[in-house]
Amino acid sequence: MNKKILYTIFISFFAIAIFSFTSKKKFEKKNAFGQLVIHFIHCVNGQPVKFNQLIYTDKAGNQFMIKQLQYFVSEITLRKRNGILLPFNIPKRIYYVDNELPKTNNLTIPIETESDSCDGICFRFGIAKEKNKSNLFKNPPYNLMAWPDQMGGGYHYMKLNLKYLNNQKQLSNFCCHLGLGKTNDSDTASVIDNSFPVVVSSANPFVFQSNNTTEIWLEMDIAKWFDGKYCIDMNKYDGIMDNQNAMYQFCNNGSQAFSLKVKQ
Amino acid sequence: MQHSRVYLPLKRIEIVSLVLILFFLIYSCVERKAISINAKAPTCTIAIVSTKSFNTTPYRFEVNRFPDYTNVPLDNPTTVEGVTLGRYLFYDGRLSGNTDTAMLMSCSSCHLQRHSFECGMDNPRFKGGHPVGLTGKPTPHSMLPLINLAWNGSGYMWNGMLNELNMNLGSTRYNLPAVEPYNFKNIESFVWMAIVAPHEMNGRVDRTVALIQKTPIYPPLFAKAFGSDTVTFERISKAIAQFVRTLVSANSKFDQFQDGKQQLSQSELNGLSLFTSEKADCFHCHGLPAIPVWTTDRFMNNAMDTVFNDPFDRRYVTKDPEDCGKYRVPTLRNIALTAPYMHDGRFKTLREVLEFYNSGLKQSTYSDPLMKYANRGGSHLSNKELDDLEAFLNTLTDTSFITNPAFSNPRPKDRFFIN
Repeated sequence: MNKKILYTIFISFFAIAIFSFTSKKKFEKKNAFGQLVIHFIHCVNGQPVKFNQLIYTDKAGNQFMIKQLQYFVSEITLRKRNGILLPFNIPKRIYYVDNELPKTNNLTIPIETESDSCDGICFRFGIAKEKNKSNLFKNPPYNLMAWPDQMGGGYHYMKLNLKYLNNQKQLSNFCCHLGLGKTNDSDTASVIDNSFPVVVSSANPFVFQSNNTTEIWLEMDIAKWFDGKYCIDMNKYDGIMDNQNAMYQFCNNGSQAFSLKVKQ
Repeated sequence: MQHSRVYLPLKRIEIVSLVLILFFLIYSCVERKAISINAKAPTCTIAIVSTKSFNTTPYRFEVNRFPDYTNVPLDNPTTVEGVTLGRYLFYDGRLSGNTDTAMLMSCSSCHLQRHSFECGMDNPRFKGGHPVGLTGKPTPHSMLPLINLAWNGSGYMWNGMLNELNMNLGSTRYNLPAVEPYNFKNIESFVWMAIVAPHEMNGRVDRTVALIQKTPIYPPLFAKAFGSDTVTFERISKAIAQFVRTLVSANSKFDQFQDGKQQLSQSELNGLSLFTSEKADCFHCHGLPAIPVWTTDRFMNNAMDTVFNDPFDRRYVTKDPEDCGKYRVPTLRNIALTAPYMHDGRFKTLREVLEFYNSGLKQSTYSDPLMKYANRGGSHLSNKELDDLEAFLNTLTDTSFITNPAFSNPRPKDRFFIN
């Protein structure tokens, strides 16, 4: 009798073990359907960016060089050809890109299920105000993007650091830093969300195939931050972090700075 | 007989089931361990593993607001016993391989607790706060304080030459074999470099090991820390590195202010406001209250010079000509205690540093764009504003750190133990 009970217990353990093992395999298979790699690339007037070279001229006529570029994008989703957004499990809801840290220039997203082909990507440049709170990140490099509390708190959306020849032909520094804005009209101070949604499309749709990696290239044209609806002259600013009007103009221009490339 | 024949198959099933259960148990344990190593608490996981073999006690880093990882290597978990041994070795002048009083040198010869483990202008041995080796040769750069290094993620020294990406092993120059204890990666690497470098102890690793082995206090300490009383160089460096990682400074007046336990004066608050403003713009390099190590740990050219002749600036590591004149941004924690300032110690007081950023900047192609006011010489704050900034910087001084007995000389009356 005792041995029968033992037999039952062993068989139960065995069944549970087999079940756990097969469940795990199923989970792995599900995750292994495919993956999407988003490459964050940067250009100036359509040509791949060359850092540290005084070779560019903006719309205002200033010669400039690009030294560093760091930014956050968030809320990334893909758009199917029928316009419906494709939800997927992105490992990080907020993604950081840094030209000095090459590994941040590629985002790999596991694709769990087969889907129709997509032709666009949607994201928020920066971090939405309700999520952009101080102390959200404890670890570098994310926390190094902290934005002072007295300017609204949270994190920089972007640090684009340049050098340019000013009106006196002297080398000068310019930091295009974007984040929450603040206005101090009369006695009240209000925080302004300068982050903005971006939707970019490709004429070439892309699809996900089982066990394959699909690659797309999200390109930022740095010149367009200065040369959009507003022509921004670096000579007019020391820095723009405390200048809501300047940040508004940059963000307006920046919303047109992105494009999507898909391998044909 | 018949009875036993009936249940014979059951025994087989039992055995098979047992084997399978054992397999799945081991399988799941292995998986769990791997996950915890990849997660955010490698120190604890590895430390617990280490205690099983020779009964050590895991040392836990518990600091509010700090990053939730440490750079503790997988092969050198921090243990209470290792830290104790490391503290002895840190202060012991026999680390130099010498017993003559005049030739004794230890880590503590240059790294003084009262100066946040920096040299200090009043160092009894090194006038002006610039260390000189036993050969009389000065170190290439002035010193950086040994604090909060457990959270350093971008390499060590002013140029970051010791970093995790560095694959170099050994040194033919000092006859050190190409094996792990002689790597160029981490805090452990400091120890062999300090022993052999002519601008430091100018010794030999084997001589140091032999001397420590025959010093009666050490074999029992090594046994407690590493499971046997054999002294090896690898164990010496690991123990000292463990101690150095515990040198945590996180209890300044400003920390207490953030915890609601202290008030800042109006001048200190004004200084904080300036520090985090575009006007003074200190925070882009040194961080905000949200960056509690008070440095971005990046390498920057801070517009001190227009000609760059130092062969040991950041170029030495990256070989990138764009990196000339770049150095590590130092932490501002205990900054009032760590004069002289800058990689070459050119500024003797904190006020001189503030005056430099206020009106001494020099524009060049290589100066970092974050030095926004470089082309007009600086931020041009008033004297009152400089006073406020200095008052704020003084709130980052952690007096409990510089008087913490856990970090002090364990044998102050022993002639071999320095300071």
